[in-house]
Amino acid sequence: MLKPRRREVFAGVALLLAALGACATADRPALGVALSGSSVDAARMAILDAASDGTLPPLDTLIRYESGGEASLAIRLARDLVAAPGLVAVVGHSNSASSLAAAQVYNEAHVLQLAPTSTAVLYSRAGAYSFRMVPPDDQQGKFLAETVSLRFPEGARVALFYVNDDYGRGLRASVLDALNEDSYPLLLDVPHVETDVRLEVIEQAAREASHVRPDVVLWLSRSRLLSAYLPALRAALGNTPIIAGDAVSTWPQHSYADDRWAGVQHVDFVDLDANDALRAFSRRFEARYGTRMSGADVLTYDAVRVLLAGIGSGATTGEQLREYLGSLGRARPAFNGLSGPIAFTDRGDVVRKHLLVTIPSQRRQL
Amino acid sequence: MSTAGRRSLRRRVLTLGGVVALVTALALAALLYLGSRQQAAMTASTSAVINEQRIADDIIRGVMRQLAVVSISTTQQDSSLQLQFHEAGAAVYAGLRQYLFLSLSIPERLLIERVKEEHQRLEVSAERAMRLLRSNDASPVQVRAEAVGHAVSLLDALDAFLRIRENAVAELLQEQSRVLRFSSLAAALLVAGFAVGATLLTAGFLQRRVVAPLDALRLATAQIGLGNLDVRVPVAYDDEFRSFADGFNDMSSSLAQTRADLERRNASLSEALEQVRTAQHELVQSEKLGAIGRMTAGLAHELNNPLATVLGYSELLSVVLHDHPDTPAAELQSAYVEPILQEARRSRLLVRSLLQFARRSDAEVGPVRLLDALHIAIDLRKFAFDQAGVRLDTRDVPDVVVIAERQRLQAVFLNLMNNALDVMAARGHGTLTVRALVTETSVELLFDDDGPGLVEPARVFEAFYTTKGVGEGTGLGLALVARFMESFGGGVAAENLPLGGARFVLNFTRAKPDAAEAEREGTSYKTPAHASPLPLRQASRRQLVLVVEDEAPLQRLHRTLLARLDVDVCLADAVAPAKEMLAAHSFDVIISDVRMPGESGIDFYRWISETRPELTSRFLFVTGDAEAPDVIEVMLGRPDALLRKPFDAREYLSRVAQLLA
Repeated sequence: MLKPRRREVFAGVALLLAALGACATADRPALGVALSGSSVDAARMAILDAASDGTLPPLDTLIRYESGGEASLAIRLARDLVAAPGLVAVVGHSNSASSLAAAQVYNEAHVLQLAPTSTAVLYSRAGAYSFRMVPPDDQQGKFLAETVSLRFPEGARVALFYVNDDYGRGLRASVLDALNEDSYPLLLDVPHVETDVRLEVIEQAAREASHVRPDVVLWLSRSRLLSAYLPALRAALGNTPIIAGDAVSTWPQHSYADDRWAGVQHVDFVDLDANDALRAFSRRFEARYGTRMSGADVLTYDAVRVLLAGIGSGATTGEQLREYLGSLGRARPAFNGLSGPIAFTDRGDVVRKHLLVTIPSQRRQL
Repeated sequence: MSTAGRRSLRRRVLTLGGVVALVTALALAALLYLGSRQQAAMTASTSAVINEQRIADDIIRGVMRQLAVVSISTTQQDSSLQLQFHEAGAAVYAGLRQYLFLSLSIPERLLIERVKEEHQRLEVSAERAMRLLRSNDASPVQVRAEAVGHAVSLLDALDAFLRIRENAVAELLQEQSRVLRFSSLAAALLVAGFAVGATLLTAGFLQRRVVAPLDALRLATAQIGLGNLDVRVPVAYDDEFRSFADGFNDMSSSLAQTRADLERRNASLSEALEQVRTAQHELVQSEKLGAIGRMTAGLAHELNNPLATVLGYSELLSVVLHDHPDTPAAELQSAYVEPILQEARRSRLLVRSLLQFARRSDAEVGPVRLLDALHIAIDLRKFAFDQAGVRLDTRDVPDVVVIAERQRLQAVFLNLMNNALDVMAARGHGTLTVRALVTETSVELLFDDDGPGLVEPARVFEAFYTTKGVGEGTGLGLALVARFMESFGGGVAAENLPLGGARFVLNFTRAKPDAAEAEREGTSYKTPAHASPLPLRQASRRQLVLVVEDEAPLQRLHRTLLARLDVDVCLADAVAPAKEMLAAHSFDVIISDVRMPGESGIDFYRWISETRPELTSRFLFVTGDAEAPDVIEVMLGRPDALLRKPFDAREYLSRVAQLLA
């Protein structure tokens, strides 16, 4: 039998060890968000909704704003995120270029990356921990070509504006591969960079477009740049149809009172008016954040919710989350998101239909 | 002990060899594996360096081509230029994509992204410049300058990236080199450890399987050598040593059994030997008793005759004195007293010879007068020879001194004479001739008889060899003769004489005559001449003599004889009253017997030596046991203080008179 004093010491040591053990197991999983604009709000809303419906697992959330889509910025952001204790997954980044740049950081840290809107073909090769909520751009390129073909069955002269990064280059190549060069000659092929919105550059592009007078403008760049280009292009080309890639789906973040977006058509993966749930969600989003919701926001919302579900199922590591996402639609039912059933292909993509959305006039809406 | 798990040493050696070979193979495999890993790592590093250099070359080449296309486009409007520009750009982009999926550090990745962005800007600026040229809308100079600027930035970034990568690769190479050194050291240590391990394993194996069994066998053998036949070696060894151990244990068991048998036999032999010794002792005693009996019988005859004479003449004398009181003294002296004296002296001679024969000896071999010893034996057996009609001729024996021991020598003579007497007595005649052949250094004494001779002369000295009938002899007499002669340093031989009879030859070492003077004096017993009458003294003053004698006749004799010396005599029958008398009177002479009831005369003499030492010079022992050791010890200092019984009256009176004077 132990003496009383020894028993006390023994009990104290046991409690200390138990406390240390509790501390050791107290590391909660952390979910990172690296996005920009209204997508951050969508991520927040997903967390709040999960909390309100009782499906929010114990976890820490690390929400980082990604101002702009520069790859270097994304890398630094990813570096900071993976340094955070307990980080198991990141929803991000803003676009294909930044997602692709940060992908290696996450893969090396075994942190699952779920990109809401990154469609660059190259992202499929980023690594085992790289997932996305959309299909790759090789399909979007065909869709855009088909759209042009349907709009101009007799052929049309094409002016192509693209952002000279992973997204724009990949999508441009896909479109050109799918577009019959004879019927749809490329009269203008204008690259630009995300950060260069100098007026002289925009006006030169508009003059060139005016000079070739295309039947259709294909915009394979982002909404922020199109927002900058639209006034000059409208002035130069009038009502020449502008068909844009999915990156323009975030146009509401750059809406102006001049209604410049009216009539612009863009590829989207979510029909915000497809059902009551989406409409209700859209209303809630606007009511909460005062911003018009985009399809990218819905995808962000679903991305956060599916990861929360995975963590809630017991996945506390990037590897376990990877297995969880891989099991959706296979070992377990597809996740029922706002954007529809969510299940991932072997390459980590979500198979979705491409939608062509025409941006309505803001004046009418207003 | 269980035999499970035992194996032969050969199998163990093979197993050990197999283990060593296996470990060797594993060690070599490990070394090869480590070496191949290092080689693969080095190859991968080299390949990575080469690959990255190739990628960088592709990027630089592509950028240069794009710049070249831009430059050419200022003077040449060709649609193929744009195609070339895009192809070169695609090549650059492909290279950058390869970098994209490499395992890079954050700074490296940032630099690659910078290269990529600068390339994107380069392309945008270049294409814008080319479009300006084509449209003649504005001067492309500034735009081309932008492109060149981006190209420079791209190359700077690429250069920085490559430098980082080179440093990383250099560090990797250094690390690999360090690992290689470590691996080499580990390999060396592994080999050394293996060598040490193999050595220890082999040494342990040899110690456990070879040395230990051999050591156990060695110790067991040593134990066997020390007589511990119960020792066994463990059999828990390999087959070879186990069979060896089994054989050893069987051998030790057999030895133990044999020793036990030998010990039992030895015990039996010892018991038998003891029985033989007992029997021998009994035989010797029997022989002694026989000899004593024969000698006693002879002695009885020897003594009976003179005693018969003495008795007869004494009775006649008594009758004559009673019937013819006036018979002249001279007639009485010649007719009766002289024969009585003669026969009494003869008896005294016999007794003295017997005492001489029986005298205890210190068994020291030394000079002995040959003739004295022979005469003693003759005196003891003379009557027997005469009775048997056998003549004893010793005339040719000279008076020489030989190396012998007197008593044993007398026994030798007595045995030879007895043997001769036995073989010749049966026919009632015969002669035993004793002769001596004397040289400067030796004496040969020959005992020749004319009896039937010896049956087997060569065996007569064997113990228990006898040709006499059962109960007539022990077969030890001549064996003792041979042993005694050997103890003298001499020898004895037996043979048959050519004309019949047996001869015994005794060989002695001759000693100088001077050496036997003491012997001669000590053993002289010749009867002194006595022609003169008994001493008679007329004392001038009264003198007192103390006589201590327990026998009354002798007391009367002492008193009668001392009366001739004109002295007063005090008689004491024991030492105790003698001491009282001595305290009460002053004695001139003390005459004491030796053997008496109570204290002996020796004790009395010692008491006087302590209390009245002045009287020791006037002390005279008169004893028949003069040869007793205690008497001899006391008489060593005063040989003239002893008078032997039976004494001569003349000598007695003469010795007392000397003391009184």
